[in-house]
Amino acid sequence: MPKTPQTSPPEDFLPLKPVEFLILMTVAAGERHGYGIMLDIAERTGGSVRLEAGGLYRSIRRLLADKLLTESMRRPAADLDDERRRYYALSPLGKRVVAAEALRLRALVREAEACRIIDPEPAR
Amino acid sequence: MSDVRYTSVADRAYRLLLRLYPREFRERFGGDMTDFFHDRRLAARQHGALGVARVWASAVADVARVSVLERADTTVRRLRALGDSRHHTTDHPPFDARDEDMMATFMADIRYALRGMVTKPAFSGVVLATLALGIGANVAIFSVVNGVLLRPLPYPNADRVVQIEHVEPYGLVSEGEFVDYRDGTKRFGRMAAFSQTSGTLTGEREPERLTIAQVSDGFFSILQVPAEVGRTFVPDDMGFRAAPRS
Repeated sequence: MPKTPQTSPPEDFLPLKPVEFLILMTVAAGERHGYGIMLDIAERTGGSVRLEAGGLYRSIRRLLADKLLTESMRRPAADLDDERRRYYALSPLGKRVVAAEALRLRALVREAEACRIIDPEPAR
Repeated sequence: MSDVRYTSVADRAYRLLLRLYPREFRERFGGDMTDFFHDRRLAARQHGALGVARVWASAVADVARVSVLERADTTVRRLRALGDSRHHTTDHPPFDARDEDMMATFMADIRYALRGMVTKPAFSGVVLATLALGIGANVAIFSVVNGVLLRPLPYPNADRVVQIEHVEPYGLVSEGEFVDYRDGTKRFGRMAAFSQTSGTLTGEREPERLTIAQVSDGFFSILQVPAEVGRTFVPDDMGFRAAPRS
């Protein structure tokens, strides 16, 4: 991946790894901390993707280095003992990259439908 | 990092595991990863000990896998930073002395130890001999303890089989005493007598020294072992004038 993301078009980051795509999608809905990201992804994938700490933070490190994620230290609410956790949010670049990846995947799915590999999804 | 919050043994053990990660990764994410593991462990508690064990197993596997990947990445970044000093990016600071690698320190220790052993052969020899004797003695003692105390007897229900004997000043149990013990005690399900001796088997081939046990009826049925050759006792064998068996 390129080292100067400010000037890179989103397409330079594609294809994303499936896990990175899931993480970006999860934080698109709002800030999350690591454990929350894992729970969201587990729910989103029906439990088939259950991230461990190492794998998750490795992906987060890479996404931070590519400036697709931003991090902030803050407490979400005054309740619980949830103090001082790092929260991750989608950067503007990250937003464009995850959208570009979704478009890329959609194009692939369309292609698979055109080749009769899967049935076309009924229009919604 | 939020070290202070975690005082449980499990979380501290996990923190120790995190030492396998490269330092910069650990310093940046170690606290959050401990948070993560803590939450995961608490959530798994509702599935009982098996759930917690599963969390531990996947956490260990995760640390083993990702720490290797992160170390490889760190090495590549350092090499790139060293070789590419003109295009210096803020993401990848060059190697500095404080940023020492646990693995590199460990390897340096090993090299230092080996050099010391080569330059002081007499000392090394004494140390090795001491270690060899110590390990050998421990192995010998453990073999005896294992055979005599730890390994169960090779019989079914071996934990219910006991051996009774007279102690000084009484000698061997006589046949009459055995019958009294057998018929007069209620603590034991069944009782059989044996006495051990040895003899020499002679015949057509080389004479052979044998360990021999004279046993009473019930001996084989108590231990629940069949005869290797021939048969064990039947009721007709009991009493006087029973015909000897081959």
